[in-house]
Amino acid sequence: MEQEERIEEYLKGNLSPLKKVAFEKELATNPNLQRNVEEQRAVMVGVKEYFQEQTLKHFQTLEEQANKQKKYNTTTLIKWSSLLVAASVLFFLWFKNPFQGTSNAILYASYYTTYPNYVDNIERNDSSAQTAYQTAFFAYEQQNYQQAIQIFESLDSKQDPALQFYWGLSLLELEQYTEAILHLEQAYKAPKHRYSDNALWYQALGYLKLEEYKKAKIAFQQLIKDQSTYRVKAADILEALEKLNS
Amino acid sequence: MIKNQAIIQQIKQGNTASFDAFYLSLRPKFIHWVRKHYLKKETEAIELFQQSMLVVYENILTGKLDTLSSNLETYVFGVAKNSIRNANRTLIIKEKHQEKLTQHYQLLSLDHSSDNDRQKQLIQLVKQVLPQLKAGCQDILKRFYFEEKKAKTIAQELGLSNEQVVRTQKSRCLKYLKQLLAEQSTEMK
Repeated sequence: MEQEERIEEYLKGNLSPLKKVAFEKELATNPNLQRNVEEQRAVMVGVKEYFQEQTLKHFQTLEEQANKQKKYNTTTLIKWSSLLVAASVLFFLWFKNPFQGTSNAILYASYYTTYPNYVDNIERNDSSAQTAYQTAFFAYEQQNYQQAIQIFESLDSKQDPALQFYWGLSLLELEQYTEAILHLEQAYKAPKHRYSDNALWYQALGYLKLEEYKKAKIAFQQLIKDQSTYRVKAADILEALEKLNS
Repeated sequence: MIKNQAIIQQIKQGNTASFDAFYLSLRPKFIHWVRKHYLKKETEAIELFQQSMLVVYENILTGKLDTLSSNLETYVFGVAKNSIRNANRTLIIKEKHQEKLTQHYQLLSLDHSSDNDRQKQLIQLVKQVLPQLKAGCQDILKRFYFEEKKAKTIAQELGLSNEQVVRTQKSRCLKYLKQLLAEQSTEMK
Protein backbone atom coordinates (compact mmCIF):
# COMPACT_ATOMS: atom_id res chain seq x y z
CA MET A 1 0.00 0.00 0.00
CA GLU A 2 2.94 2.31 0.66
CA GLN A 3 4.23 1.86 -2.88
CA GLU A 4 0.71 2.50 -4.21
CA GLU A 5 0.47 5.78 -2.34
CA ARG A 6 3.93 6.85 -3.42
CA ILE A 7 2.98 6.29 -7.07
CA GLU A 8 -0.22 8.23 -6.59
CA GLU A 9 1.52 11.15 -4.94
CA TYR A 10 4.04 11.15 -7.80
CA LEU A 11 1.27 11.21 -10.42
CA LYS A 12 -0.54 13.99 -8.60
CA GLY A 13 2.70 15.98 -8.48
CA ASN A 14 2.70 15.99 -4.69
CA LEU A 15 6.20 14.61 -4.06
CA SER A 16 8.87 16.96 -2.76
CA PRO A 17 11.59 17.77 -5.34
CA LEU A 18 14.05 15.49 -3.56
CA LYS A 19 11.63 12.57 -3.39
CA LYS A 20 10.63 13.16 -6.99
CA VAL A 21 14.22 12.88 -8.23
CA ALA A 22 14.70 9.69 -6.27
CA PHE A 23 11.45 8.27 -7.59
CA GLU A 24 12.25 9.06 -11.21
CA LYS A 25 15.70 7.57 -10.84
CA GLU A 26 14.17 4.33 -9.68
CA LEU A 27 11.49 4.53 -12.36
CA ALA A 28 14.09 4.72 -15.13
CA THR A 29 15.59 1.39 -14.16
CA ASN A 30 12.69 -0.55 -12.70
CA PRO A 31 10.32 -2.06 -15.31
CA ASN A 32 8.00 -3.30 -12.60
CA LEU A 33 7.58 0.21 -11.22
CA GLN A 34 7.10 1.53 -14.77
CA ARG A 35 4.25 -0.92 -15.27
CA ASN A 36 2.67 0.00 -11.94
CA VAL A 37 2.88 3.72 -12.68
CA GLU A 38 1.33 3.21 -16.09
CA GLU A 39 -1.46 1.15 -14.59
CA GLN A 40 -2.14 3.58 -11.75
CA ARG A 41 -2.25 6.53 -14.19
CA ALA A 42 -4.76 4.63 -16.33
CA VAL A 43 -6.89 3.91 -13.25
CA MET A 44 -6.91 7.55 -12.15
CA VAL A 45 -7.69 8.90 -15.62
CA GLY A 46 -10.10 6.06 -16.44
CA VAL A 47 -12.16 6.49 -13.25
CA LYS A 48 -12.34 10.25 -13.77
CA GLU A 49 -13.38 9.90 -17.43
CA TYR A 50 -15.91 7.18 -16.57
CA PHE A 51 -17.72 9.40 -14.07
CA GLN A 52 -17.48 12.40 -16.39
CA GLU A 53 -19.21 10.33 -19.06
CA GLN A 54 -21.84 9.22 -16.54
CA THR A 55 -22.51 12.86 -15.65
CA LEU A 56 -22.84 13.79 -19.32
CA LYS A 57 -25.27 10.89 -19.79
CA HIS A 58 -27.30 12.26 -16.91
CA PHE A 59 -27.26 15.72 -18.56
CA GLN A 60 -28.69 14.02 -21.65
CA THR A 61 -31.70 12.83 -19.64
CA LEU A 62 -32.11 16.39 -18.38
CA GLU A 63 -32.07 17.54 -22.01
CA GLU A 64 -34.95 15.18 -22.77
CA GLN A 65 -36.81 16.64 -19.81
CA ALA A 66 -36.10 20.18 -21.04
CA ASN A 67 -37.29 19.30 -24.54
CA LYS A 68 -40.52 17.81 -23.19
CA GLN A 69 -41.10 21.03 -21.25
CA LYS A 70 -40.34 23.09 -24.37
CA LYS A 71 -42.81 21.01 -26.39
CA TYR A 72 -45.44 21.46 -23.72
CA ASN A 73 -44.85 25.22 -23.65
CA THR A 74 -45.16 25.41 -27.45
CA THR A 75 -48.42 23.44 -27.34
CA THR A 76 -49.73 25.73 -24.63
CA LEU A 77 -48.70 28.74 -26.70
CA ILE A 78 -50.51 27.31 -29.74
CA LYS A 79 -53.59 26.67 -27.58
CA TRP A 80 -53.57 30.23 -26.29
CA SER A 81 -52.93 31.57 -29.81
CA SER A 82 -55.94 29.63 -31.07
CA LEU A 83 -57.97 31.03 -28.22
CA LEU A 84 -56.82 34.53 -29.10
CA VAL A 85 -57.78 33.98 -32.73
CA ALA A 86 -61.19 32.75 -31.63
CA ALA A 87 -61.53 35.76 -29.35
CA SER A 88 -60.62 38.08 -32.21
CA VAL A 89 -63.24 36.48 -34.43
CA LEU A 90 -65.71 36.90 -31.62
CA PHE A 91 -64.79 40.55 -31.19
CA PHE A 92 -65.17 41.07 -34.93
CA LEU A 93 -68.57 39.42 -34.86
CA TRP A 94 -69.78 41.66 -32.02
CA PHE A 95 -69.48 44.55 -34.39
CA LYS A 96 -70.55 42.81 -37.54
CA ASN A 97 -73.24 40.51 -36.25
CA PRO A 98 -75.99 41.80 -34.02
CA PHE A 99 -77.45 38.33 -33.56
CA GLN A 100 -76.57 37.22 -30.09
CA GLY A 101 -77.19 33.54 -30.73
CA THR A 102 -74.44 33.30 -33.33
CA SER A 103 -71.97 35.02 -31.02
CA ASN A 104 -72.88 32.67 -28.19
CA ALA A 105 -72.21 29.68 -30.38
CA ILE A 106 -68.75 31.08 -31.08
CA LEU A 107 -68.21 31.85 -27.43
CA TYR A 108 -69.15 28.28 -26.58
CA ALA A 109 -66.91 26.86 -29.30
CA SER A 110 -64.00 29.01 -28.12
CA TYR A 111 -64.11 27.65 -24.61
CA TYR A 112 -65.41 24.14 -25.00
CA THR A 113 -62.82 21.37 -25.01
CA THR A 114 -63.38 17.66 -24.67
CA TYR A 115 -62.58 16.65 -21.12
CA PRO A 116 -60.15 13.71 -20.88
CA ASN A 117 -60.89 10.50 -19.02
CA TYR A 118 -59.16 10.54 -15.67
CA VAL A 119 -61.29 7.92 -14.00
CA ASP A 120 -59.87 4.61 -14.94
CA ASN A 121 -56.59 4.02 -16.68
CA ILE A 122 -57.24 0.41 -17.51
CA GLU A 123 -54.88 -2.04 -19.16
CA ARG A 124 -55.90 -2.06 -22.78
CA ASN A 125 -54.74 -5.63 -23.45
CA ASP A 126 -56.92 -7.19 -20.82
CA SER A 127 -60.35 -6.30 -22.18
CA SER A 128 -62.01 -9.46 -20.84
CA ALA A 129 -61.26 -8.44 -17.27
CA GLN A 130 -62.93 -5.06 -17.64
CA THR A 131 -65.96 -4.35 -15.58
CA ALA A 132 -68.94 -2.59 -17.17
CA TYR A 133 -67.86 0.55 -15.30
CA GLN A 134 -64.39 0.41 -16.89
CA THR A 135 -65.86 -0.35 -20.31
CA ALA A 136 -68.01 2.76 -20.11
CA PHE A 137 -65.02 4.99 -19.43
CA PHE A 138 -63.02 3.21 -22.09
CA ALA A 139 -65.85 3.91 -24.56
CA TYR A 140 -65.78 7.57 -23.52
CA GLU A 141 -62.04 7.69 -24.06
CA GLN A 142 -62.53 6.18 -27.51
CA GLN A 143 -65.11 8.92 -28.24
CA ASN A 144 -67.77 6.26 -28.41
CA TYR A 145 -70.20 8.44 -26.45
CA GLN A 146 -73.38 6.62 -27.41
CA GLN A 147 -72.03 3.36 -26.06
CA ALA A 148 -70.73 5.09 -22.93
CA ILE A 149 -74.19 6.54 -22.24
CA GLN A 150 -75.87 3.15 -22.73
CA ILE A 151 -73.55 1.56 -20.19
CA PHE A 152 -73.91 4.47 -17.75
CA GLU A 153 -77.68 3.94 -17.92
CA SER A 154 -77.37 0.24 -17.15
CA LEU A 155 -75.12 0.64 -14.11
CA ASP A 156 -76.33 0.47 -10.51
CA SER A 157 -73.88 3.06 -9.25
CA LYS A 158 -75.80 5.93 -10.82
CA GLN A 159 -75.24 8.15 -7.80
CA ASP A 160 -71.50 8.12 -8.37
CA PRO A 161 -70.61 11.77 -9.13
CA ALA A 162 -67.80 10.78 -11.50
CA LEU A 163 -70.27 8.66 -13.46
CA GLN A 164 -72.78 11.50 -13.54
CA PHE A 165 -70.11 13.92 -14.69
CA TYR A 166 -68.91 11.78 -17.60
CA TRP A 167 -72.49 10.91 -18.47
CA GLY A 168 -73.18 14.64 -18.77
CA LEU A 169 -70.03 15.15 -20.79
CA SER A 170 -70.97 12.34 -23.19
CA LEU A 171 -74.34 14.03 -23.73
CA LEU A 172 -72.65 17.40 -24.33
CA GLU A 173 -70.46 15.74 -26.96
CA LEU A 174 -73.63 14.48 -28.64
CA GLU A 175 -75.11 17.98 -28.40
CA GLN A 176 -77.93 16.87 -26.09
CA TYR A 177 -77.51 19.93 -23.89
CA THR A 178 -80.68 19.88 -21.75
CA GLU A 179 -80.14 16.31 -20.67
CA ALA A 180 -76.43 16.90 -20.22
CA ILE A 181 -77.08 19.77 -17.81
CA LEU A 182 -79.25 17.51 -15.62
CA HIS A 183 -76.41 15.02 -15.10
CA LEU A 184 -73.79 17.74 -14.66
CA GLU A 185 -76.00 19.39 -12.05
CA GLN A 186 -76.29 16.12 -10.13
CA ALA A 187 -72.52 15.74 -10.29
CA TYR A 188 -72.03 19.28 -8.99
CA LYS A 189 -74.57 18.94 -6.20
CA ALA A 190 -72.94 15.81 -4.80
CA PRO A 191 -70.63 16.38 -1.78
CA LYS A 192 -67.40 18.05 -2.96
CA HIS A 193 -65.35 15.70 -5.17
CA ARG A 194 -62.54 16.08 -7.70
CA TYR A 195 -64.92 16.87 -10.58
CA SER A 196 -67.13 19.40 -8.77
CA ASP A 197 -65.59 22.47 -10.43
CA ASN A 198 -65.48 20.79 -13.81
CA ALA A 199 -69.13 19.79 -13.54
CA LEU A 200 -70.15 23.40 -12.86
CA TRP A 201 -67.97 24.72 -15.70
CA TYR A 202 -69.48 22.37 -18.28
CA GLN A 203 -72.94 23.01 -16.90
CA ALA A 204 -72.39 26.75 -17.40
CA LEU A 205 -71.20 26.13 -20.95
CA GLY A 206 -74.32 24.06 -21.55
CA TYR A 207 -76.52 26.96 -20.42
CA LEU A 208 -74.56 29.28 -22.65
CA LYS A 209 -75.16 27.01 -25.62
CA LEU A 210 -78.87 26.90 -24.79
CA GLU A 211 -78.84 30.71 -24.50
CA GLU A 212 -80.05 30.51 -20.91
CA TYR A 213 -77.95 33.51 -19.96
CA LYS A 214 -79.20 34.05 -16.42
CA LYS A 215 -78.38 30.50 -15.39
CA ALA A 216 -75.09 30.62 -17.29
CA LYS A 217 -74.17 33.86 -15.54
CA ILE A 218 -74.94 32.44 -12.08
CA ALA A 219 -72.83 29.39 -12.79
CA PHE A 220 -69.87 31.43 -14.09
CA GLN A 221 -70.11 33.76 -11.09
CA GLN A 222 -70.14 30.77 -8.76
CA LEU A 223 -66.92 29.50 -10.38
CA ILE A 224 -65.26 32.86 -9.66
CA LYS A 225 -66.57 32.87 -6.10
CA ASP A 226 -65.30 29.32 -5.52
CA GLN A 227 -61.82 30.39 -6.70
CA SER A 228 -62.07 27.60 -9.25
CA THR A 229 -59.30 26.98 -11.79
CA TYR A 230 -61.85 28.09 -14.38
CA ARG A 231 -62.31 31.50 -12.73
CA VAL A 232 -60.27 33.49 -15.30
CA LYS A 233 -62.11 31.93 -18.21
CA ALA A 234 -65.42 32.44 -16.43
CA ALA A 235 -64.63 36.14 -15.91
CA ASP A 236 -63.74 36.50 -19.59
CA ILE A 237 -67.02 34.94 -20.66
CA LEU A 238 -69.01 37.11 -18.25
CA GLU A 239 -67.31 40.19 -19.69
CA ALA A 240 -68.15 39.05 -23.20
CA LEU A 241 -71.78 38.42 -22.18
CA GLU A 242 -71.98 41.90 -20.69
CA LYS A 243 -70.88 43.38 -24.01
CA LEU A 244 -73.36 41.26 -25.91
CA ASN A 245 -76.21 42.50 -23.75
CA SER A 246 -75.22 46.15 -23.80
CA MET B 1 -24.41 34.47 -1.85
CA ILE B 2 -26.07 32.37 0.85
CA LYS B 3 -28.30 30.70 -1.71
CA ASN B 4 -25.31 29.85 -3.91
CA GLN B 5 -23.42 28.30 -1.07
CA ALA B 6 -26.52 26.37 -0.05
CA ILE B 7 -26.75 24.87 -3.55
CA ILE B 8 -23.03 24.12 -3.57
CA GLN B 9 -23.21 22.37 -0.21
CA GLN B 10 -26.26 20.37 -1.26
CA ILE B 11 -24.49 19.18 -4.39
CA LYS B 12 -21.40 18.29 -2.41
CA GLN B 13 -23.56 16.19 -0.13
CA GLY B 14 -24.74 14.23 -3.16
CA ASN B 15 -28.08 15.98 -3.67
CA THR B 16 -28.23 15.72 -7.46
CA ALA B 17 -31.81 17.03 -7.59
CA SER B 18 -30.56 20.43 -6.59
CA PHE B 19 -27.99 20.43 -9.42
CA ASP B 20 -30.64 19.17 -11.88
CA ALA B 21 -32.91 22.06 -10.93
CA PHE B 22 -30.04 24.50 -11.42
CA TYR B 23 -29.23 22.91 -14.81
CA LEU B 24 -32.81 23.14 -16.05
CA SER B 25 -33.37 26.69 -14.83
CA LEU B 26 -30.17 28.05 -16.37
CA ARG B 27 -30.35 26.14 -19.67
CA PRO B 28 -32.70 28.41 -21.70
CA LYS B 29 -30.90 31.61 -20.69
CA PHE B 30 -27.49 30.12 -21.41
CA ILE B 31 -28.44 28.72 -24.82
CA HIS B 32 -30.03 32.00 -25.83
CA TRP B 33 -26.90 33.90 -24.77
CA VAL B 34 -24.47 31.57 -26.58
CA ARG B 35 -26.51 31.57 -29.76
CA LYS B 36 -26.79 35.33 -29.72
CA HIS B 37 -23.12 36.05 -29.12
CA TYR B 38 -21.05 33.06 -30.26
CA LEU B 39 -22.57 29.98 -31.81
CA LYS B 40 -25.42 29.74 -34.24
CA LYS B 41 -26.33 26.08 -33.93
CA GLU B 42 -28.44 24.95 -31.00
CA THR B 43 -26.65 21.58 -30.79
CA GLU B 44 -23.30 23.36 -30.37
CA ALA B 45 -24.78 25.63 -27.73
CA ILE B 46 -26.14 22.62 -25.81
CA GLU B 47 -22.77 20.89 -26.05
CA LEU B 48 -21.00 23.96 -24.66
CA PHE B 49 -23.58 24.21 -21.89
CA GLN B 50 -23.05 20.58 -20.89
CA GLN B 51 -19.27 20.92 -20.95
CA SER B 52 -19.43 24.07 -18.83
CA MET B 53 -21.85 22.48 -16.39
CA LEU B 54 -19.57 19.44 -16.12
CA VAL B 55 -16.64 21.71 -15.20
CA VAL B 56 -18.80 23.49 -12.64
CA TYR B 57 -20.07 20.19 -11.24
CA GLU B 58 -16.55 18.84 -10.86
CA ASN B 59 -15.32 22.07 -9.33
CA ILE B 60 -18.13 21.96 -6.79
CA LEU B 61 -17.35 18.35 -5.89
CA THR B 62 -13.63 18.98 -5.58
CA GLY B 63 -14.25 21.92 -3.26
CA LYS B 64 -12.92 24.55 -5.67
CA LEU B 65 -16.06 26.63 -5.30
CA ASP B 66 -16.29 26.49 -1.52
CA THR B 67 -15.29 30.12 -1.28
CA LEU B 68 -16.97 31.32 -4.48
CA SER B 69 -17.70 35.00 -4.10
CA SER B 70 -19.61 35.54 -7.35
CA ASN B 71 -22.98 34.17 -8.40
CA LEU B 72 -22.97 30.49 -9.45
CA GLU B 73 -24.79 31.41 -12.64
CA THR B 74 -22.17 34.05 -13.48
CA TYR B 75 -19.52 31.44 -12.83
CA VAL B 76 -21.05 29.06 -15.42
CA PHE B 77 -21.04 31.85 -18.00
CA GLY B 78 -17.42 32.59 -17.10
CA VAL B 79 -16.44 28.96 -17.64
CA ALA B 80 -18.12 29.00 -21.05
CA LYS B 81 -16.40 32.25 -22.06
CA ASN B 82 -13.02 30.80 -21.08
CA SER B 83 -13.74 27.66 -23.01
CA ILE B 84 -14.62 29.66 -26.15
CA ARG B 85 -11.56 31.87 -25.71
CA ASN B 86 -9.27 28.85 -25.29
CA ALA B 87 -10.74 27.12 -28.32
CA ASN B 88 -10.16 30.23 -30.42
CA ARG B 89 -6.64 30.68 -29.10
CA THR B 90 -5.75 27.05 -29.86
CA LEU B 91 -7.11 27.49 -33.36
CA ILE B 92 -5.03 30.64 -33.96
CA ILE B 93 -1.86 29.03 -32.62
CA LYS B 94 -2.47 25.93 -34.70
CA GLU B 95 -2.91 27.96 -37.86
CA LYS B 96 0.16 30.09 -37.09
CA HIS B 97 2.48 27.19 -36.40
CA GLN B 98 0.93 24.47 -38.48
CA GLU B 99 4.16 23.44 -40.15
CA LYS B 100 6.20 23.26 -36.96
CA LEU B 101 3.40 21.44 -35.19
CA THR B 102 3.19 18.77 -37.87
CA GLN B 103 6.90 18.15 -37.51
CA HIS B 104 6.55 18.05 -33.74
CA TYR B 105 3.70 15.57 -33.84
CA GLN B 106 5.61 13.36 -36.27
CA LEU B 107 8.53 13.33 -33.88
CA LEU B 108 6.28 12.55 -30.98
CA SER B 109 4.57 9.74 -32.80
CA LEU B 110 7.92 8.17 -33.61
CA ASP B 111 9.02 8.30 -30.03
CA HIS B 112 5.93 7.54 -27.99
CA SER B 113 3.13 6.36 -30.20
CA SER B 114 3.15 2.82 -28.89
CA ASP B 115 3.28 4.05 -25.27
CA ASN B 116 0.38 6.40 -25.86
CA ASP B 117 -1.69 3.76 -27.57
CA ARG B 118 -1.09 1.34 -24.75
CA GLN B 119 -2.05 3.97 -22.18
CA LYS B 120 -5.23 4.83 -24.09
CA GLN B 121 -6.13 1.17 -24.35
CA LEU B 122 -5.59 0.72 -20.64
CA ILE B 123 -7.80 3.72 -19.84
CA GLN B 124 -10.54 2.28 -22.02
CA LEU B 125 -10.18 -1.02 -20.24
CA VAL B 126 -10.54 0.69 -16.85
CA LYS B 127 -13.78 2.31 -18.02
CA GLN B 128 -14.97 -1.05 -19.27
CA VAL B 129 -14.33 -3.03 -16.08
CA LEU B 130 -15.27 -0.34 -13.57
CA PRO B 131 -19.02 -1.16 -13.66
CA GLN B 132 -18.11 -4.74 -12.67
CA LEU B 133 -16.95 -3.52 -9.26
CA LYS B 134 -19.36 -3.55 -6.35
CA ALA B 135 -21.20 -0.28 -5.72
CA GLY B 136 -19.18 0.38 -2.59
CA CYS B 137 -15.91 0.12 -4.50
CA GLN B 138 -17.17 2.29 -7.35
CA ASP B 139 -18.25 4.87 -4.80
CA ILE B 140 -14.92 4.99 -2.99
CA LEU B 141 -12.92 5.26 -6.23
CA LYS B 142 -15.30 7.97 -7.43
CA ARG B 143 -14.70 9.96 -4.26
CA PHE B 144 -10.93 9.59 -4.59
CA TYR B 145 -10.37 10.13 -8.32
CA PHE B 146 -13.42 11.99 -9.63
CA GLU B 147 -14.22 14.13 -6.64
CA GLU B 148 -10.50 14.29 -5.70
CA LYS B 149 -11.22 14.03 -2.02
CA LYS B 150 -8.72 13.15 0.68
CA ALA B 151 -9.04 10.00 2.78
CA LYS B 152 -9.81 12.08 5.85
CA THR B 153 -12.73 13.87 4.16
CA ILE B 154 -14.13 10.61 2.80
CA ALA B 155 -13.92 9.03 6.26
CA GLN B 156 -15.87 11.94 7.69
CA GLU B 157 -18.50 11.74 4.95
CA LEU B 158 -18.94 8.02 5.46
CA GLY B 159 -19.04 8.39 9.23
CA LEU B 160 -15.86 6.39 9.77
CA SER B 161 -13.71 7.28 12.72
CA ASN B 162 -10.45 6.30 11.07
CA GLU B 163 -9.19 7.38 7.65
CA GLN B 164 -7.01 4.28 7.57
CA VAL B 165 -10.17 2.23 7.06
CA VAL B 166 -10.86 4.23 3.91
CA ARG B 167 -7.33 3.76 2.65
CA THR B 168 -7.51 0.00 3.22
CA GLN B 169 -10.86 -0.14 1.46
CA LYS B 170 -9.50 1.83 -1.50
CA SER B 171 -6.46 -0.42 -1.71
CA ARG B 172 -8.68 -3.50 -1.79
CA CYS B 173 -10.83 -2.00 -4.52
CA LEU B 174 -7.79 -1.07 -6.59
CA LYS B 175 -6.44 -4.57 -6.21
CA TYR B 176 -9.71 -6.02 -7.45
CA LEU B 177 -9.87 -3.51 -10.31
CA LYS B 178 -6.34 -4.38 -11.39
CA GLN B 179 -7.18 -8.07 -11.24
CA LEU B 180 -10.07 -7.44 -13.61
CA LEU B 181 -7.76 -5.43 -15.87
CA ALA B 182 -5.28 -8.29 -15.96
CA GLU B 183 -8.01 -10.82 -16.76
CA GLN B 184 -9.38 -8.61 -19.50
CA SER B 185 -5.93 -8.02 -20.98
CA THR B 186 -5.27 -11.78 -21.07
CA GLU B 187 -8.59 -12.35 -22.81
CA MET B 188 -7.77 -9.70 -25.39
CA LYS B 189 -4.42 -11.31 -26.16
